[in-house]
Amino acid sequence: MDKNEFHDELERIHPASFGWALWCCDHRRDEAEEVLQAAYVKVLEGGTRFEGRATLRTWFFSVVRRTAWEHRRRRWVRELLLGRWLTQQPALAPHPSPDEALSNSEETRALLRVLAKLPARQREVLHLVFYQDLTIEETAKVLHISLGTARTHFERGKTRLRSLLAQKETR
Amino acid sequence: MNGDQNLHKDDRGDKAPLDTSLQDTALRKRFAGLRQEEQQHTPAFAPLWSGRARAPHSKGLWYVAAACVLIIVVAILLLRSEQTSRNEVSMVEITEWKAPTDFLLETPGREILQTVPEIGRWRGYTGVTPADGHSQVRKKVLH
Repeated sequence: MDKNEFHDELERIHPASFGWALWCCDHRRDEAEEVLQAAYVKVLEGGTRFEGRATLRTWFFSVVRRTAWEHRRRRWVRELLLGRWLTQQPALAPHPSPDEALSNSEETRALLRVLAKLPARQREVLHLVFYQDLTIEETAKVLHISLGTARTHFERGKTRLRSLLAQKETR
Repeated sequence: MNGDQNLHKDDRGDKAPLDTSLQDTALRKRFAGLRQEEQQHTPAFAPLWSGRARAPHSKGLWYVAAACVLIIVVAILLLRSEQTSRNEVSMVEITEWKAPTDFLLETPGREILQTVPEIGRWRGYTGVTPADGHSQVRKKVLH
């Protein structure tokens, strides 16, 4: 794949990549933008290379996930060293900001609230399968887990999500 | 082919209950709604790709952090050196210190007890050998 092709393909999957970055950053929009940009920089500077062993989307999602993890670790160290008061970062909530929440429909907000109650791994698997339309196998590759583990997380996550949604609707 | 369909084909075959499939479709629809809403606010690709979308804010923070660490190190060094010099002063004071009641331990005529008398030599309380005639006279009187 030549450079232009690579660029075009990344541009094509950009909205999906941003959606994945949002999920990796617990729906913090600013952080998701930073992470996605850092992932692009990593790709541009050759910090990570696409070797064609998986689809470009699977590979890039994996890069975004790793970048988000590094970003979170760096932020944690920074906060530990300087204190939250010095970094002047507001307390981060795992939910969308009020602006974003207002722009979302009630159904979407309910889904986000319910998803926040699931373990992170189940949430990631459900997102990749239902939101990104990846196969279980591709999901396993993105998350660097075995196919069996991905299936287990998918089944458990789905069951729990359904029951939580049912509980919410009966209230 | 999506993951859900994969799962049905691989693990459940045609025996998968219909309601499960319908429920999955419902979940898929919900996620599709979420995707549609979230992707409306997707930032443009070009600025993120070219890396000029936002200035690296962490650089300034690292300078502040470095300055803070430097100040702390200097402060610790200064405090330590001051403490060391203070300790030295106090040690000198201890060796030179005398109790205020030390003078009570001074015995009158202590010089006499500390010197060995010699025959033919007179030593007064002051330890000075008298060379005048007065002491000689006194010697004679004593004899």
